[in-house]
Amino acid sequence: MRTKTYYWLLLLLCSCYSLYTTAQPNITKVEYYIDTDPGLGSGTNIGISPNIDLTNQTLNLDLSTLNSGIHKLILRAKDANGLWSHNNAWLFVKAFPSLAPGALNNITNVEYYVDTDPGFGNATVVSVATGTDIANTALNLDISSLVTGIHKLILRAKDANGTWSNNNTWVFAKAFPSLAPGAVPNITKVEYYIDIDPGLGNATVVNGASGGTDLANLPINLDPALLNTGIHKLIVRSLDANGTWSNNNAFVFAKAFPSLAPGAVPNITAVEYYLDYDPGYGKGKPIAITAGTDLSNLTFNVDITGIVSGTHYAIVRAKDANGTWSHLNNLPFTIPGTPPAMTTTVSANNICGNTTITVGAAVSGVTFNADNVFVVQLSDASGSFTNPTEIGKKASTSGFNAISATIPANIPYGSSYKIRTFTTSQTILGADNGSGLTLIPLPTIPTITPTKDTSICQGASAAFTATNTSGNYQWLVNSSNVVASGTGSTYTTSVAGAYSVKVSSYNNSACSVTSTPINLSINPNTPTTPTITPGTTAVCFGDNLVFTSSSTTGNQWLLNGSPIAGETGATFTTQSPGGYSVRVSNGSGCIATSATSIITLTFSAAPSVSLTASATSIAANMPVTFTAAPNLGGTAPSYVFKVNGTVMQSGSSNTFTTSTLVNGATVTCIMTSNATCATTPTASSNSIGMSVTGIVILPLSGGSLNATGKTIPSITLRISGDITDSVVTDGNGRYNYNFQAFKNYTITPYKNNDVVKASGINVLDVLQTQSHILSKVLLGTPYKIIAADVNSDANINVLDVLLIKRLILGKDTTFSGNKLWAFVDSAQVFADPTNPFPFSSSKTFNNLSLPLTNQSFIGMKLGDVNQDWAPVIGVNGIKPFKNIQLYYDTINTGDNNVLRLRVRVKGFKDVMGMQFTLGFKATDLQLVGIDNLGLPWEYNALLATKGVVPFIWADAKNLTNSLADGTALFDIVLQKQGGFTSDSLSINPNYTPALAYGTNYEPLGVVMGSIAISNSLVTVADNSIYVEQVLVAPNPSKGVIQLRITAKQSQSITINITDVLGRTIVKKQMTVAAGLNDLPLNLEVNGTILSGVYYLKVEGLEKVFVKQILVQK
Amino acid sequence: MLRKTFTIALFAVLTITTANAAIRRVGFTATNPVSGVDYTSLQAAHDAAAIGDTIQIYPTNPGTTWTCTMTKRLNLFGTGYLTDGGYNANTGLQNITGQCSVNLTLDAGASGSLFTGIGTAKMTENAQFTVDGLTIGIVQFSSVNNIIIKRCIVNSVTLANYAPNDSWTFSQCRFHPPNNNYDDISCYLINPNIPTVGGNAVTNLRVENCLFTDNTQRVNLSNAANTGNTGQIVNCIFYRSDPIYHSNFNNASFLIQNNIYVNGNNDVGTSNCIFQNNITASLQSGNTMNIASSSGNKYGVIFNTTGGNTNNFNTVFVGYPYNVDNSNNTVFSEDAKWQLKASSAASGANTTGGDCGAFGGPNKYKLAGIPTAPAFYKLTAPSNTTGVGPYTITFSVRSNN
Repeated sequence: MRTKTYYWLLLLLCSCYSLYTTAQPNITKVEYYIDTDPGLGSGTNIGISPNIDLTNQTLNLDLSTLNSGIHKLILRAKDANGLWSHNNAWLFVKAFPSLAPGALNNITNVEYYVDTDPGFGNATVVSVATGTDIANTALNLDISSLVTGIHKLILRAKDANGTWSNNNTWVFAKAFPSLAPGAVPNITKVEYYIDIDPGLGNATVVNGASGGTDLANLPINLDPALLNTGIHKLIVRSLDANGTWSNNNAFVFAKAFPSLAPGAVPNITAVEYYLDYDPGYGKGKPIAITAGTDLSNLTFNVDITGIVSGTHYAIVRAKDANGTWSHLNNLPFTIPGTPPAMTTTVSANNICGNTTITVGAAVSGVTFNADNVFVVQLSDASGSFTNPTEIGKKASTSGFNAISATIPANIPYGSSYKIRTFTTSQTILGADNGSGLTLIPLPTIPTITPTKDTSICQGASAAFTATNTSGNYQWLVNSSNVVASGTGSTYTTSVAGAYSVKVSSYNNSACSVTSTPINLSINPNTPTTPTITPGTTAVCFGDNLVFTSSSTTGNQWLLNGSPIAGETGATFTTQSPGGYSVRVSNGSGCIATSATSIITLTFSAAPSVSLTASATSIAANMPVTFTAAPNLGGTAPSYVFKVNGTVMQSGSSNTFTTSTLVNGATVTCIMTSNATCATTPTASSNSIGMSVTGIVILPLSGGSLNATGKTIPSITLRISGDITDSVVTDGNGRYNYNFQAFKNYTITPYKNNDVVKASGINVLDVLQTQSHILSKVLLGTPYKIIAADVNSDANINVLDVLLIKRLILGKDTTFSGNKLWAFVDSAQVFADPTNPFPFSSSKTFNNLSLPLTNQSFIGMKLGDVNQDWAPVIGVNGIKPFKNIQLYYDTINTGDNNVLRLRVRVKGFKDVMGMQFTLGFKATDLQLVGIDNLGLPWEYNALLATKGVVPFIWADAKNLTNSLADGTALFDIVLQKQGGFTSDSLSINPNYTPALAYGTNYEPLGVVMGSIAISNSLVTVADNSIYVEQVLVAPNPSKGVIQLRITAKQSQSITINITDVLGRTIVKKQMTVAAGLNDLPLNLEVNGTILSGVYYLKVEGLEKVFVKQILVQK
Repeated sequence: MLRKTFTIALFAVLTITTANAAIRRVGFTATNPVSGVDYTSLQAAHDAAAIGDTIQIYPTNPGTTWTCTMTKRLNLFGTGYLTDGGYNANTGLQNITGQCSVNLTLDAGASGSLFTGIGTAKMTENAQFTVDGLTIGIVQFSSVNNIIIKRCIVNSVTLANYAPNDSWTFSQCRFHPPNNNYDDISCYLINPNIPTVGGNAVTNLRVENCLFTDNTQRVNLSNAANTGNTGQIVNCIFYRSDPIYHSNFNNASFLIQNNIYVNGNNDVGTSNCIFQNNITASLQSGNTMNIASSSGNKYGVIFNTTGGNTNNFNTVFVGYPYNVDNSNNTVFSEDAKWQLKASSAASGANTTGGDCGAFGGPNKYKLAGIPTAPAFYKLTAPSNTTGVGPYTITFSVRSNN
């Protein structure tokens, strides 16, 4: 450390002394800095002893850290009062170092390299003595590793200061070797090959070709026998003593093919001929020759005697000694005259391929040679014989032959085929069969796969597949039994049998082929399908589950369908979840696999249950559903629901619904678990408190209209369900009812209070209902159909017609179920409008929670199928097209007290149905009976006591009827009563209204005519009737009467006695003889009969007699 | 002893084979067909035939082109050609006349078949025939071998198309453009224009004593893909009216021997051909022709120096320069005119001292392609009969080898 001492005290005194001449404080701190002021107090402290006067104090500065040059030392002091002196500066110099050179440095390293610089210090070291001047030092360079050519040597040195010299370069050359040739080497080997090079040194060695430098004219001997014919290439090459091969030297040569020169000309050894039809090579008629190579101008004679007229051919051919036949050479010639005609007939038309048919060939007047053959030819599909097909032949010398011919199996389909025949000796070409034949090719015979008999395991199935053959498929089992629905190209079965497939032609199903059957057998040793226990179950974690197979042997346990290695016993234990099954084999090649048991893994835990409610603040009666959600409840948890601790419901249902909760009620649930892994059996739910307010009333309103929009008044709406009540609609068909909310209700309309029961119902409804039944004109809407079903049995039939008639006639006042109306929920949608049954006839409201309006119904007056019911009776704006007039005659009955009025008709033309009510004065007349004289009138006699009898007739087949004016409709027989004053009949409009309908259901009027009633007695003198008279005696009686029936001929009659209510008392059927028949008749039933009026009705062949019988006991 | 036994056994086999071979006929329509013998199509006859059977093909008038895909070894016999005695035809060789053409497709099953005597019987100079000879196309990917085509008019044959072919022999044939179209270069022995697959080759091809005298394309082995072609062309006559190549042997090892070339060149690109004793001649003075334009072994090439030829074509063949007599009648038939003149330079010029050309050597060209079978050359009788015998018929028949 360089220090410098300064005497700074004097300076300090000079600056401070004048300020504090009195009461001088001590100087307590002295500090300095160099060049840069660090701030008061932050300079370098100088250790002092406080005093008021510090003199000759020294300060040692360390200059080592200062740069060379001028610097400024600043010194200052602080007294005990904290006052600082001024800065006192002192300039000084730190001297610069000397520039004088030092002593010479020694050379410490010398190194060199050749061509490529490895870097300073990395080159090859040259060993030298240390010194400052190293002279004439030798360097030995090893150039053995250098390539020949020019190189550069680089030399350099380094002194003790580490300073390197420049590179010093010396260029030198390493000389190339000499180019002078050596001695000529000997040839050591010569080898050759032909065509294919086996590789250098591997070819055939030329013997003796070695040991010199020039081997001349050496032979190579080849064996031609080893060569194929054709061009070849010989390649020869040599090898010298230096191991150098010569180039290949090639020589091309040929080995000639064997000569193609023909052999000697062979002799002709045989010549033969035939006429018209070739009998075969060597089978012609031989011509005598002398064997030679050129047989010139030889002749032979053909005996043509007896040959049929026409063109013939003599065919000649020759054979040489080599057995080679010449071509045929033909010579045509003609036998004068007309060739014989031969006809061809065919036994069938539509012919399947491969079918053998019989072809008839007939020709007369020809003597055939013994070798004659009848040949059958088939044309092509167009009927042309340009390329005929021979399909049959028969050797025969007869002129009339039936020849079997077989249609080719695969002949193209066509309908213009023809067949003809020809003969071979004599030669006659017959005419074809004359008409087109339809030939159907057989389908290709199918094959089926599997192609061999096969066996399947019990329960497995086999799929047979037929080759793709054009035609209709039909699978067969055991040849004859058609497999149902097996008409595809494949058939799958699990039943043993011999399976084949028949393929029929699209053109004709009779043309079919059948595959070779394949036998399918069932392996009888198929193991029984095993079962395993337990089935699907849960296992608690860590517990073993033991499966047991129903089979004691052949088991292989499977996990998720894959075999479990080593698990082949009858039982299997596991702790793992998954799908387990067992596969059983018995060595038969068949296996059976059980159903899979699914094992789930469950951890043991305490069960719990959580209870929720559909609502907790409700109005009274509002149902609330509580739902328990179990945790670890097992497969069949059970629940007990409690309200305020009282058990309200228990069982397996996890929901509980109640509408009886009161305000403040609490609901809880206890769940009992059956989970295997549950640690406790039961769990209690949370408690739910209920807030319940008062009862809510909900109004519900609606109305009823009929299908045409007419208001139906006074309908009773029956209310059932949680209450039983009723409400009647007002005059507008409306209703309004207040219900308690949250209850269940059903509203069912009902109406039977029509003043006129048959209002809206008349014979037109009968006719239209009949028309519907007869399917002539159907009732077009579901409401009309419902209206027709008056007995509500969901069927429209004759019973409905009868009931409608009864209502019209007043016999009944209501329909089945004591109702006259049917109602349908207005919201009803008919899935099938033609069959509206069943339909909703009421409205049900479950848990009614909202006020409802327009809860309406559509009403239908039963029987009113034409929907002309009107709330106001008698309003009928239809004016009849015309009127039918009724009038009557009085018929002499022979009894002055009995009045028989014969009702006749006028203007009865094209009438389909008719109704009316005859009225008479009930106080004067009492109805005895009514005899229909033509149309089957139905009537209601029960109203006769009121002086009315409603009538109705509707043609049973909805056909129109026309009656001549004056035709009698029926007789109405009346008994005169005391005080008799009037015997007139009238139309009473207050009961069944008088009306009729024509052809198109147009309305017709019915009136009582103006024809004067004749009071003259008319004697019955109708010879067409067969029962002429019925007499009753005694009358009145006590119940036993005698009938005298006068019959015109023997006939069967029916006797029917009814009371005034129409109830049958006696009914008999018997045969009466022609003439008088006296028949006793006892009216008593079980020995008794009530006094009163009874009606006797005797029905003969064409006439019905009705008599009133009085019984007086 | 052992050798003798073997010979007898072989003879027995051959005898049985011959005995079982049947003759089937196509085109013979004079009389009602015999089932199993007479067929209305060559294909039907082929399909019915057993291996080794013979099918006789009868010429028709108008002619018929018989088309057939052959899958079995058969012998197809025609009746020869140029036999009707008409213009440039031969006489007295065959009684049967008419036209015949066969268009075949062969597959490997047809290997070993023989086709002989196939061609039209009648030819008219410059007329357009629709039927006249044999065309053979090889089924793709099928290697058909050991085929002998003998004494046929050959329109074209496609070899080494999609498969190699071995041991085909064309003997005593006349290569003739289809439809007699002399400008139709589709007449070829090997079609150079069809690409080959996998370097297919024609091996052991023999073309001997054939006439390539109708400007045909001859033999073209120039397709680079055809490598390894081998065979020989011996005693043939090649004629062109222009100097287009007769043959191209760029990819072949062939022996070309004892042929006569008129006009045109041969192109040889490799050194594996041997040319021996071939004669060249030029139609026109100044035409240059090379027996082999490139390198190759040439032995005994007569009348040829590279770059020029001055030999007179008219001194070589009997039918040239004029083939008509003083009455303008044809002197020699269409094939006979290629016989050598007595003073022809080709006479005695072949490798064994015999003649060059189709009529030289041991396998001389057979006029009219009469096959190796007896041939009736006369059949006649009175045109009218009385209906009573005998009816005398006169015939002449000659055997052929």
